[in-house]
Amino acid sequence: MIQLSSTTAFLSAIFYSIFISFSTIELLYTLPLVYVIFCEYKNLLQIFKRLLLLNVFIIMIFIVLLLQSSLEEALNIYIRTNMIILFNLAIFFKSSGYDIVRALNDLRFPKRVVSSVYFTLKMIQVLSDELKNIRMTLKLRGFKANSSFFTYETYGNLFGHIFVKSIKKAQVLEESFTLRGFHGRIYLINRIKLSYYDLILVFLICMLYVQRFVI
Amino acid sequence: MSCSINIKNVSYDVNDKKLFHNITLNVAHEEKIAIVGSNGSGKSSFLKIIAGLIKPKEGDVFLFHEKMNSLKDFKKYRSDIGYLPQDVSDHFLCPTVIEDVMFNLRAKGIKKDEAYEKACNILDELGIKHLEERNIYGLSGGEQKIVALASILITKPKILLLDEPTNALDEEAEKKVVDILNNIKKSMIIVSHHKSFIQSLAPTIYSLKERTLDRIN
Repeated sequence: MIQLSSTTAFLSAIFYSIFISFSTIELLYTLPLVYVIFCEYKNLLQIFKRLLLLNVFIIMIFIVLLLQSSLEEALNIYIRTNMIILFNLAIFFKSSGYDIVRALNDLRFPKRVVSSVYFTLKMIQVLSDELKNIRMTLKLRGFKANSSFFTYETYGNLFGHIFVKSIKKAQVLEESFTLRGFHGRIYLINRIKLSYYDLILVFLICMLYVQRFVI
Repeated sequence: MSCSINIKNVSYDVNDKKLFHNITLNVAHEEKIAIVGSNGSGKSSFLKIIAGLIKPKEGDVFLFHEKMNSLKDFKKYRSDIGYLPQDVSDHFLCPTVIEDVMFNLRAKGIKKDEAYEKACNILDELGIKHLEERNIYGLSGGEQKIVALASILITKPKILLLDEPTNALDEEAEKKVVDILNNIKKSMIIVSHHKSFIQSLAPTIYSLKERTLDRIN
């Protein structure tokens, strides 16, 4: 199994996305993309499924651009957006959100930034789990969404429930901070282990910048 | 310093509803006591008062014979008190098992290598060394409880406050937690509504019922 380090993935995602955003597409620019897809070849189907879902929104942007400017520009933006999203989907496919925290820590970001991102991700996970539970409960209790007042009332109650839950969770987290002596930073073990796969990706992205700005 | 908790005439209310009134309790060095009671009787609030998380409405809390006048006074004894919350997922502050177990030591300024070694030892003692690199949120409920216990025990606290330590655990996980707790020689207050489990752990059992605390064995 090919596993890229979280730091390489994070930096590559940023630099590749910036590069593609400000360039007109050339075939060479697909090399890093092809490479990360190769690294995740076993999950290709799932990655493309997610991309397809996101394309619902990208196509809307494409249509708006098509109406406002030319087909060429609309196509260019459509392809670039898909390339960026596909690259990020592939590179972070196996990642739990916490890899970003680890990458920020490895890159020596301020400790408070690292812990804030970590606790934000933790809260997102808690609330998304809660949302999953609620959806399951609704299904089990025979709830069917339609355009009735009851449906809106139910959704209103659920959002209220999640809101209250998030406040309670935040209070409990504060208690844990007090009990465990938290003073603004979390301590992660530095795990940067660069493999040949990381180096190849870094090389490919550097090559794009060199080709664009040096040659 | 002999370890003891003295609770004198403590009362607590939530939204003008009296949870308990005039409670007095003494816990001696290495004594294990349990508090049972129905849901909403105030067991968890009682533990939080001893842990210094909430202030009682009336009464005094003494830790190691020193009166705690405000929540700030508890700061001095923070590492002497190990508190295991009911939902242990709230207790975790780091993504992996080893990082979380090391956290309390690192927060106290202990160097990484030393903290790592101590964390490995405690994981080994509790039989969960194989979970070292795992993401905490991917563990089962039982494993999470033991990891939380490890992160508490690593600072060698003198008092353990355990809020429903076997809550939502299957029989096997419960047995493992009970075995671990039985081998710990510390002052312990265990709160539960699970009488059968409590009896195998604590020789002294109190019941928090109708706002008062009564010894039932």
